[in-house]
Amino acid sequence: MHSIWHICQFELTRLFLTKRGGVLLLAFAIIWLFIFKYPVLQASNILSDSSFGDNITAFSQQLNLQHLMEWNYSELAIYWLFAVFAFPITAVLMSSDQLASDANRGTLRFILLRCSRSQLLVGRFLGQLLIVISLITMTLLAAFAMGLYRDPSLAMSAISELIFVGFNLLLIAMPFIAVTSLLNIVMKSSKLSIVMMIIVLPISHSIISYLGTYFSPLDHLLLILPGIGLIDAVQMPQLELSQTTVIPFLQTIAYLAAAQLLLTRRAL
Amino acid sequence: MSTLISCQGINKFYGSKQALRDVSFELEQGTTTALVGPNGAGKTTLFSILCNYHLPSSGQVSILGHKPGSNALFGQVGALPQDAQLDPRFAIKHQLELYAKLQGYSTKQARIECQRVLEVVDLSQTINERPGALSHGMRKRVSIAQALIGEPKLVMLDEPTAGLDPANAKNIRQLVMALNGQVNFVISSHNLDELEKLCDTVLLLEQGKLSQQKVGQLSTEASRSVTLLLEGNQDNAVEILKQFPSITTVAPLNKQEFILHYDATEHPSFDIELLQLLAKNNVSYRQLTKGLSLEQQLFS
Repeated sequence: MHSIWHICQFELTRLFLTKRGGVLLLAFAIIWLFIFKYPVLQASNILSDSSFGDNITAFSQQLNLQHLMEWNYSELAIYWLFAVFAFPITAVLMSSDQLASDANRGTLRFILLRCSRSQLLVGRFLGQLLIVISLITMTLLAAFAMGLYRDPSLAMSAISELIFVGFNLLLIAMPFIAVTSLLNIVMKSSKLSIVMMIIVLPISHSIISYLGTYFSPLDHLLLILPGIGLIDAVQMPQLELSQTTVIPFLQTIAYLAAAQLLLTRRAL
Repeated sequence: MSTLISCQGINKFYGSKQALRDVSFELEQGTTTALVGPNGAGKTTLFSILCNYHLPSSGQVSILGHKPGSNALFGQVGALPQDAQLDPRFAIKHQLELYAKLQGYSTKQARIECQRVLEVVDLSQTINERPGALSHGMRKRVSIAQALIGEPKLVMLDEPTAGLDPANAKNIRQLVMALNGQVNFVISSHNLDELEKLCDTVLLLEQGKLSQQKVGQLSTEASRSVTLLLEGNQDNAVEILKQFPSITTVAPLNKQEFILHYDATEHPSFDIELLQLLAKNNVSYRQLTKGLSLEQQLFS
């Protein structure tokens, strides 16, 4: 276990102590600054206005989002709507170079004299997961702080929403990091891994959906695609152990198992 | 003496191409071994299998009694893989300390060990540098330093002096000589002169086959010959040598260099007699080597 922990820790320094990590963090911070400054700040003002809320009820019912209107901190509700789609992309971008460049450079050869391939895979996955958790925590607390600033009296009752959002964002991001681990073993570079993710996911989704119209059991194949439950997650009214929470977890295990299988057989 | 490396019937295919063909050998502890052969002979493939970077298509490999890549070998086996580089984004210190921690060192011990191995390769001043700030030779020495972290029983060096200037190559040779006895080395190189100085066992790979295994610097044949290199062209030298009764045959390698065969049982002090003969006849020489050179042993 100590090897996994050291590899995991090193991944954190890769983000926070290197130039590439710094640039990624800066880009992330700028994007979220805009999200907080405009949609979250503005939209939460609008959502918290009861007269306007009545007008958009019909719209939100159509999308099955009316439960968001009931959240104590509308800032968290709007943050959740953005984050649920932003963090899968963030997870892929941040974790796109788990193994590829080290394998090309031969650096993995130095590391593999001291730990097993499985330890390396799991250590790097957990490192990336910790990075994404830290980014989720930072942005989530910022959204919570905005709500707290507007109405401190609702803080205690908003805690459950805070946990709900944090837990679900983590679950949503996990399979994306695991898929990137897998793609990093197959692809020669981090850029190719990202490109493959962009190409393969929508194409796979389209093909399976198309085939599913002829033979409906094939629709179950959609369950292997990460992000398949994103819309369901947004529509989920409260924290519960449902298909939406279990599927990303199972996907993560399956992708990591596949990555492990490939990595142990690959020449490095 | 216990077994250091044991390979039995190793085959390795890359698609339809066979890189290693039924390679079998056994090395005992306490040896420094040279892995030689022409380009494409399979040296790096064999090296990669020993380090668990590649899996053999068939056959059994055992290092210190364990399968390559098993937990028991972490920290016991060090290696300088050919062309492998450290991560250019991190200081050398960060990377070597990580490697030491992976071998079980605490943070403080890892810092001390990192300093120690860099001192061994005479690069302690570069501890805070990134690999990109170092010359090719210095980067190679840092890579050798990583192979020495802890107290490895076996260190495998793939082309350790390739591309280095003579001074750096000499530093690495001296480093290997200094550690000889404490560490078992397996060195892959094209430089036979270098290997001759460093190694006592030779594995020769040709077209994926282990065609020869010489154990010990002096085979029976080699012990009955010397290699004489003369100073410039000396036309009368061959005649003088042929008249010397201790010499059974004079085999010229070129105009200046000769292999002299003799009967070691009848002339145990042959080398002294030969030097006296050369001095008496005013034949000046540059080098007298006991036995055949590694190049002669392997390729003549």
